[in-house]
Amino acid sequence: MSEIAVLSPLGINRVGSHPLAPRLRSLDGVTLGVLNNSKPNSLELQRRVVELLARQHPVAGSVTKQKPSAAIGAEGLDAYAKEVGAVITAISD
Amino acid sequence: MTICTEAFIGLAREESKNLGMPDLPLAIIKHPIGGESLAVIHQRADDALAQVIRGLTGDAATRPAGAASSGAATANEHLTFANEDEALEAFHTRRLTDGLPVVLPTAERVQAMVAGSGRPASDVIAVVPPRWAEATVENIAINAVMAGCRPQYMPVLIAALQAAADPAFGLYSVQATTHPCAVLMLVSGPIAQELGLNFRHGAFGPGFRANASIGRAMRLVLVNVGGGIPGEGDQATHGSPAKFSYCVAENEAATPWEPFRVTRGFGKSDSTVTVFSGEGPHNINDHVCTSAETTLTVVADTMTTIVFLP
Repeated sequence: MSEIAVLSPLGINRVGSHPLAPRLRSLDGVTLGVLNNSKPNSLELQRRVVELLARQHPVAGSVTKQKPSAAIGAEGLDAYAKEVGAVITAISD
Repeated sequence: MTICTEAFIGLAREESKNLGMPDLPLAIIKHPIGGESLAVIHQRADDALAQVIRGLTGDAATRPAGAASSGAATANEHLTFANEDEALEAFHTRRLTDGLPVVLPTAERVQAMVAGSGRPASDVIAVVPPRWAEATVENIAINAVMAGCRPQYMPVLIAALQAAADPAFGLYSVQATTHPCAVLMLVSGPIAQELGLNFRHGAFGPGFRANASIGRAMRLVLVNVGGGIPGEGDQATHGSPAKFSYCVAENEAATPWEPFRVTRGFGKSDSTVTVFSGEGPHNINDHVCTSAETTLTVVADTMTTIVFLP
C-alpha cells in the first residue's frame, strides 16, 4: 500500500477570547447574582452558598435569575449584569 | 464563578475553554446534587464557600487538575499516513470515529461529496456545541465520506444540521446531557424515495445504506465538529445504540393521515427533514388488537412503563 493523505474531520472554533472580568476587591456591599438552571436542588445549593457568604461579608443582597430549563440559554444577561456585582452559576446533576 | 461537581469538571473546563474563558474559576464539590437531602446540599454549600469567595475575589487561579481535551488533530489539517491501515488506526486512536472503521476522507472523495451539496465548500452551515466549532460544507462532507454516504445525501444532512443548530432545538443539551438521547432525523417527502431511504420493514435499521450512513454522518459531525466525545463533551451515562445512526423516513403511502411535513406547514411536493431529541425506540408490540380503541390501550400501557413520577 502506498502513502495516503486524508482530511481532518474536525471543525474550527472561532469563538474569540473573552478576558475574565476583574475580580472584586471585596464582597462588602456587593449585590450577588444567582443564575440558576432549574436542576433539582441547584437553587437550594446556590442560595445556601449566598446565605453562608452573607454571614462573612455584608453583601447588599442577591438577585436570582432562573432559567426555565437547563436545556436553553439564559436571556437578558446584559440587563442582569447591570443589576449585580458578581454572579454565581452552577453545573451538575 | 461556577460551582461544579466532580463528575462535570471535564465538561466545565472544555466549555469554558471553547467559549473563550479557559480560566473561569470553578468551585469543585462532590457529586451529585439532585436527589440529595437538604443536609447534604448544605454540606456541599459549606464545601463550596471558600472556593466561591476565592473565585470572586482572588486571582482566578483556582483551576484544578483534570481538564479534559481530546488532544486530537486540528481542523483543515491534511494528515498523511504510510498506508490505509495506519490511517484507520490513527482515526481510532484520535477518537475521530464512532468506534467503527470509516471510509478514509481523501481529497477526491471529499470534493465529490461537496459537489453533491451544490454549495461552496466554505459555507458555514452550523456552529456545533459543545466545542462551538463551525461545520462548513467541507467539514460535513469529510464526515459524510467517513460515514459511507453518497454525495446526493448531502442536502438531507445539511438540512438536518441546520435544524439541529437552531437554538430552539437545544443542541448543547442534547450533546452534553447525561441522558442517553440522540438526534433522530425524520425525512418526509419525495427525496426519501429518491435517495433510497427505507421506510418499510426494518425502518430503524440495519440494512439500508441511506438511513445508516446519513444517520452515522450526523453522529460523526456531532463528535468531530461538536466535540460530543463520550466522557468529554458527551456526558451520557450509558450512551445509546441510537447514537450510532438514527435516520428514518415517512411511509406516507401507507398512512391515512396527511404527510408529516404538510402538518408542519410545508407543501406536499416539498421534502423536509425534522430533528428530534429522542432515546432509542421502544417497541409497542401488539398481535391481537383489531380496533383503534384497543390499540391505543396497548400504546398507553406501554407508555406508562417509561414514565417515572416521583
